[in-house]
Amino acid sequence: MKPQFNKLLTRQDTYTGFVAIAVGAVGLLDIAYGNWRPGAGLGPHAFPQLAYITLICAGVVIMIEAVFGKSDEHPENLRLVISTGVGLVAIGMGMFWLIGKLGLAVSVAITLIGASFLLTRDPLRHWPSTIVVPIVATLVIWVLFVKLINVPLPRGLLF
Amino acid sequence: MLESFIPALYLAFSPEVILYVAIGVFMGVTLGAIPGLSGDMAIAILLPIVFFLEPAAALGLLTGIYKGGMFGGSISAISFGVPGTPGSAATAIDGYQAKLKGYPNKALMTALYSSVIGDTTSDFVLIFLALPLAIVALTFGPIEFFALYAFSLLLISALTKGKVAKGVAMAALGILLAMIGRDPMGGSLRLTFGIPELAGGLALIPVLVGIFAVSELIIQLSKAWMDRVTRIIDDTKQKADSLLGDYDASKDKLTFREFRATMKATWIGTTMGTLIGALPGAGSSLAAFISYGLAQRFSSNGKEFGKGSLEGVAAAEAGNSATSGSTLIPLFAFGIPGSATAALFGAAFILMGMTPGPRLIYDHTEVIYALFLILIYANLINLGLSQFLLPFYSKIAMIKSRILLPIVCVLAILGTFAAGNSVIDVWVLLFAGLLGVVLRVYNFPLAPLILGFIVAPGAERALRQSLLIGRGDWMHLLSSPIAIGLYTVAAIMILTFTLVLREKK
Repeated sequence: MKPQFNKLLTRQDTYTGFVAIAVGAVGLLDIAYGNWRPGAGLGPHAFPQLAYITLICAGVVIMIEAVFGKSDEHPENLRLVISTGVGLVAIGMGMFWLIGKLGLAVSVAITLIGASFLLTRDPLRHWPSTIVVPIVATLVIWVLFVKLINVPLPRGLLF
Repeated sequence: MLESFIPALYLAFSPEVILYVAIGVFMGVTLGAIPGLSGDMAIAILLPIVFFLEPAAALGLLTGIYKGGMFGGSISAISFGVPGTPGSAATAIDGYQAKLKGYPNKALMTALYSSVIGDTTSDFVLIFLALPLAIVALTFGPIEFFALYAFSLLLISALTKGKVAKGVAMAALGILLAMIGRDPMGGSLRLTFGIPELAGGLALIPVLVGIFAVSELIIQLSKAWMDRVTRIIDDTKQKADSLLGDYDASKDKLTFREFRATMKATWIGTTMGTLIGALPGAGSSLAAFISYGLAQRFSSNGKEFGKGSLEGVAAAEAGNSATSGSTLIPLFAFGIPGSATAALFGAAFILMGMTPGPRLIYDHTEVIYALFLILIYANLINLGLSQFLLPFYSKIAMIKSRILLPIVCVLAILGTFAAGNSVIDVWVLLFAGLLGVVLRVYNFPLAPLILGFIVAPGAERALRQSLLIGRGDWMHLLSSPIAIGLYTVAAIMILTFTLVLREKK
C-alpha cells in the first residue's frame, strides 16, 4: 500500500488535481462566508458557485485518473520556463516605466537590443540581427504607434 | 439583404482592403513558416491594432493572416520536418519524406493547391450555412441559448487535446475569470479581492493576448534561450541537404497528372476538415490526422503513405485548411467561438463594435458580406503570392525565431496598452501570460478557458433569465425540445469522439 501511495505522490496530476480542488474549495468557502450580497432570482454567487463545483469535480476526476496511472508527464525545464515568464513580466513593466522616463523609441530600442544580446551566443559577431534588426524594428514601432495610431503613451525626456 | 451586396462589393474590392489582405497573407505565411510563431499568434498580437482600422480593412488583414498561416505551417513541415503550426504536423509525415527523396517542390505545390481547395470549399460552406443557422438562432430563447452555451463548453472541453477533466477545469476557470467585476444584473462586486481597478472586470484583449500569445512567446523565448529550436532546424536542414545529393530542380515540378492523382485525397481532407472544423474544439490538427488516416484507407497506394506520398500531403493539408471557414460557423450563427482562432475573430468583432451572434449578419450586413467576399478572394491571393514567392518562403522558414520574439513581445505590450489606454491592461496581459505558461506546461488545454471566458456573461444571463421564467425550477432548463436535443447531441458526440476517434488518434 505504502509503495503505491508513494508512487501516487510522484505523479504530476496528483498535484494538478489537488490544486483544482483547493481553488474550488476556497472559492466555495468565500461564497459561503465572504462578502457576497444575494441578488434577485438566482443571485450573483450562483454562476461562480457552479464554476467552483465544476472545478472541484474536474480535480477529483484528474486525481482518480492519476490513481489509475493516467497522469501527464512532469513538465520539462519548468524552472527555466517559469523564470523566463517572470523575467518577461519584469522586463515588460521595466520597459513601460522606462518609456515614461526616456521616451518610446529609446526604451524600446534598449529593450530589444538587450533581449537580442541575451538570446544570442556571441551577439557582437551577429550584429545585424542583434543591433540592426532591433533598431529598424524600433523605428517601425515608433512610426506605427506614435505617428500612425497616435497612442497617448507616457512622455519621456528623449523620444 | 441583397441590396447590401453592391456596397459590400465596393467595400471588399477597394484597393486599401485588397492591400491589407495581401499584407496579411504575406505576414501569415511568413509567421506560419517559422516554427514557434503562428498565424493565430499574429492575429492575437494585431488585435489591438485593428481597432484603429476600418472594419473591412481590419477583417481583411486578419483573414489574410489566417489563410496565409494555414499554408505557412506546411512550408517548414516539408522543408525541415518541423511543423510550423500544430495543424501541419500531419503534413510533415509525407512532406518531409518527399523532401528527402528529392521532390520538395512537388510536395509544396501539392500542399498549396490542396490547402486552397480545402479552404475555399470550407468558406463556401460557411457562407451558405451561416445565414440559415442565424435565422434559426433568432427564434431561440434563454433556455435554448443556455443549452447552446453548455453544448459548446462541453464539446470544446471534451474534444481539445489532452484529458477531458482538464478541459472541463479550464472551462470553469475561464468562467471564473469572466465573473471578475460587477454583476451585470444586480451590480454587486464579485471576485475583485478588494482591488478597485478590477471592478470593471478583465478586458478581453489583455486576457486573450496574454493567455494565447504571451504564454507561447514565453515558452518560445525559453526555448530560444536554450537554442533548441534553431539547432533542430539546423540539424534537419544539414541532414536533408546531405541526403539530397544532386538535386535537379527541373525534374521537381508538379505535373497535371500528379495533381489529378491527389484530388481524391484532397476531397476526403476537404470533407472531413469542413465537418470537424464546425465542431467546437476539434481543431485543425485532429482534422488533418483523421483526413490523413481516411485518405490512406481509401487510397489504392495506401502503402506509400509515410514514404513521401503526395496524396498524404494533400489529405493532411486539405483537412487542416478546410477547418478555416467552418470553424467560424458557430460564431456567425450563435455567437459562440468554436476554436481559438474563432475566439480571436469574435474579439475583433467586439472591438469594432459588432456583437457576434445571429444578429451580426442583420446588423452589419455590408461588412459581413464584404468579409465573405474577402474570405474567398484571400484564397486566390494566397495562391498567387505563394506560387510566385515559394522559393523565398522556404528561406523565410530558416529565420531564427529568437530574432523576432522580442519584437513580438514589445508589440503585444504596446498594442494592449493602445487598445485600452490602461496600465492595468498591461499588468493583466503579463499575468495572463504567466498563467497561460503554467497551464501549458501542466498540459491544460487553453481553448476551453478562452471559450469559457467569452461565453460566460451570455451563459450566466441565459441561465438566470431561464430560472426567473421557471420560478427557480432547474427542470425548466429541460422544457425545450431544442435544449434537450442539444444536450443529447453533446453527450453522443463526446462519447463518440472520446471513445472511438481519440483511440485512433
